[in-house]
Amino acid sequence: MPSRLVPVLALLLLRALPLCAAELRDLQPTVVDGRVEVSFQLAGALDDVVMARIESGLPTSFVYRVELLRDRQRWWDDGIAEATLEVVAMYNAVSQEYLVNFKRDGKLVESRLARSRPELESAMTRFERVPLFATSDLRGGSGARFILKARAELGTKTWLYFIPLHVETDWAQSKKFRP
Amino acid sequence: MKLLEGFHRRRRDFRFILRMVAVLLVCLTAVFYLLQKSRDLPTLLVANRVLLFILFYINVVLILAVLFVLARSIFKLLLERRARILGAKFRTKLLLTYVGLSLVPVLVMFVYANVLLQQSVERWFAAPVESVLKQGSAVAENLLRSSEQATLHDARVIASDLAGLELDRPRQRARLDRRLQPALVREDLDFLGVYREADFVTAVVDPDAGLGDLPEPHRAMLLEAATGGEAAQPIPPPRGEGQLVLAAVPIPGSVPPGGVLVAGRLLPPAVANQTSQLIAAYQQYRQLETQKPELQSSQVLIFLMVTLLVLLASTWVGLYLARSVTGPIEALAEGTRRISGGDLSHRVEVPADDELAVLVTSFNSMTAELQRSRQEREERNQELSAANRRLDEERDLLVAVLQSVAAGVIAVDREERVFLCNDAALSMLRQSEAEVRDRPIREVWADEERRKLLPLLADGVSDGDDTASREAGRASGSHQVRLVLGGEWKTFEVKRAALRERDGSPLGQVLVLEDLTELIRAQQLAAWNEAARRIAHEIKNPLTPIQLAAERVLRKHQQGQEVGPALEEGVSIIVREVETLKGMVDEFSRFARMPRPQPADVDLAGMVQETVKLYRSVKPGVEVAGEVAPDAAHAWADPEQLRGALINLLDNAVEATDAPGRVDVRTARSDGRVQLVVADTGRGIPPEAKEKLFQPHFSTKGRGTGLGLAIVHRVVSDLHGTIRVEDNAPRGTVFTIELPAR
Repeated sequence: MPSRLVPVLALLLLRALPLCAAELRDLQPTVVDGRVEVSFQLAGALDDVVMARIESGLPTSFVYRVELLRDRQRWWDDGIAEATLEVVAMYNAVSQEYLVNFKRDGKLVESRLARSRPELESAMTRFERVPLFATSDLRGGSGARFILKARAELGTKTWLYFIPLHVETDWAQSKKFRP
Repeated sequence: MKLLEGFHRRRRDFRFILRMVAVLLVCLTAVFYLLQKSRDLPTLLVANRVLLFILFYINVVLILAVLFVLARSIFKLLLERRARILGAKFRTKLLLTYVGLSLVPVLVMFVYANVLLQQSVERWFAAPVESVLKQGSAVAENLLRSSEQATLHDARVIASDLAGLELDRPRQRARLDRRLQPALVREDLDFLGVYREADFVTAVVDPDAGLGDLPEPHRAMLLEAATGGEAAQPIPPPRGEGQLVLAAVPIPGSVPPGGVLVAGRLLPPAVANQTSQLIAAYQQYRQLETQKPELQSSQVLIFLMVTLLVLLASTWVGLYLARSVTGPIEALAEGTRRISGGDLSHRVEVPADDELAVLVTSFNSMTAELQRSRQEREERNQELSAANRRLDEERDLLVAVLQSVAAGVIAVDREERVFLCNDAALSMLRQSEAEVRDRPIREVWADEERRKLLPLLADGVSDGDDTASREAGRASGSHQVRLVLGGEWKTFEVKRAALRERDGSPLGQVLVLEDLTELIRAQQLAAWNEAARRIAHEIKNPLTPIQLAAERVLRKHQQGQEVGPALEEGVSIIVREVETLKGMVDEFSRFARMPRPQPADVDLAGMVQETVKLYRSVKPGVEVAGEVAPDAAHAWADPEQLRGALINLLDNAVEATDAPGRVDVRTARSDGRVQLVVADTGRGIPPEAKEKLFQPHFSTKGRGTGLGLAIVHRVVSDLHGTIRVEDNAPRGTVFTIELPAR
């Protein structure tokens, strides 16, 4: 085997490591009243490790990055706008409640108490028609088609005890839509 | 020492790099901190993550540094090995040895420490600890839950008492406090409140509870109870310590619906704090457990940092030590190459210790010695070149001088080969340079006439007889040689001199020829002029008395006087003067017809004694003595001619010496020749007369023909001898004849 292939294979192997089993699903746009509302859900994120972390009282956050792109034929899609939605959960062991904060582009937009795990999971992973973009962002003409892409960053891990790795899902993509 | 010197030398670079790394670390840490802070994470967690980031950064820098140092060193070593630089292999081995020696134990220690740490971390989170904390937390939670249940039960009881409560009727609302107060006391509660859904209606508080302010139940709890459910929740009391357990239940049949009764019981502070601490402790434990990978990572990173530091230090030290050894070797190899290329000014300036320093010093000393030797050699060469140039110039000058002098100069080496012959000599001897140059003199002068010159060369020079050569050299007198060259008589005065090295060893001979032909011809002409004048004078002197005698006889006869006596007297005078004339003519004839000398062994002792005996009684008061040295008793000459010469000299000496006086005749040997000396104590000879003394017809006596000393000079010259005249001390004259010894 040629020695120059070794680093390439090492990178591929690293890339193939199962860092994240979670998956972003059902990414759907809804254009209404001058807004582009986004719906999606994250599956498999709240595993035992994450739940243990949350119930230990450590603030645990999921960061959702959503990009709005204009579709281009046989070429890379054109990025138009992007938004960040961060969900931070904090557990109060005395009152046995989960405080869930929602931040959009770094600004707090909602705070919610969850009193059970399903309620917490729903609050952190299911989003229905969250207004993230304005229709004014959908520029490019009447015939233009747009795409939503989103991924979730679930925190960091260390590989081989000392190499920090971001745990994030693959990019999920919506169907192409017109305003 | 070398390590420190190298470190000081590169300290500026190190400082710059370290500053850059530190600045980058601070910047990246700040960015990372701000990013973490923006996520509402607790300070401890942010600090942990920042610490992890810093450790990771340092480790990455160290890994890069180690990799850079190793890669650079290996790359350089590969290049040096490919270029076959001396010391590259040795340095490679040294580097591998150092790195290997440090890498293996450091890695072993790293792995061992990690395993140990992982096991320790696992032990921290082992079952007993977790179990205790978990059970404690469970006890605390159960205590809270049971308190919640008890409070819920009490709330239910009181709510049933309030069933059908009409919340819109002001009278009932006004009397609600009176209904709640006994229940508060009866059920030992600290707080009782009535809400319509989430809106506050009224509440009573145990004044001894120390709440200070009304507690605020969570809206969610109130709404849950308003919709028919029950909810309980511990909250911190508005003031004071402990936990206030609130329980919300619906008031059955309240009008309008949505009436909620909230009962609150304050846990004792001690119990509440212990409960909270138990729960918090377990929470912290779980947080630590959750952060276990990060904790392990931080420890691994610390160990890795130490390992990399050790590895970097060992690699660096190894490189430095290897360079400290191979550096001087490379410098010496380079110096050797430069010196072999001729650059002797090159010096090895590499700092070295111990034996290498001695080697470098020795090498520089050797190079300096070589350079000094070469400089001296060059200086000697320059001096030699200058001397050669000077010799060439002197030789050219000598040649020019020789060519410009009128005398002919011929020089032969020890093999009698001609190596110098000036134009004058060639012209005198009617030969060309090609005939003469570098040829044996005996071939050059092989013809009958020029062969006459060969006897003038000392035979001893050619056959290596040093003694004979030295004697011949010392006996370098002048000789006249007559040759017939080109049909002309040529007379040369030839002087020979021996050429010698500084140490006295023979180098050759030189003959100096003076062409006396014209001079002799002129001298002869002058001599003949003088002779004619003297002859005329001498003839005139007898003629006058003859004329006077003849005129007296004639006058007597004419006067008629007696002629007889006058005639006898006149005839007598005439006869006498004629005899004088006749003797004069005989002497001239003898001088002109002097025979060729017949050299033979002459017994000088006998000749001197006989001659001296003749003159002993000639002049009273003048003592004549003879003395013959034993080594000068013989000479090579014509005996008769030499006797005549001796008589002539002795006759002149006796005549010139007045009584009392002394005339000594003696022989001696000098420089291989025999001297015959005649010394008197007479009147002496004036200096101006000495120059003309041996010319014909020169006389200081005022009588005679003046041919005596000229004949003596002629005889001595024909015998290859010399004659000279000097003043005697204290007075008188010394004549010295030198003749070849037998």
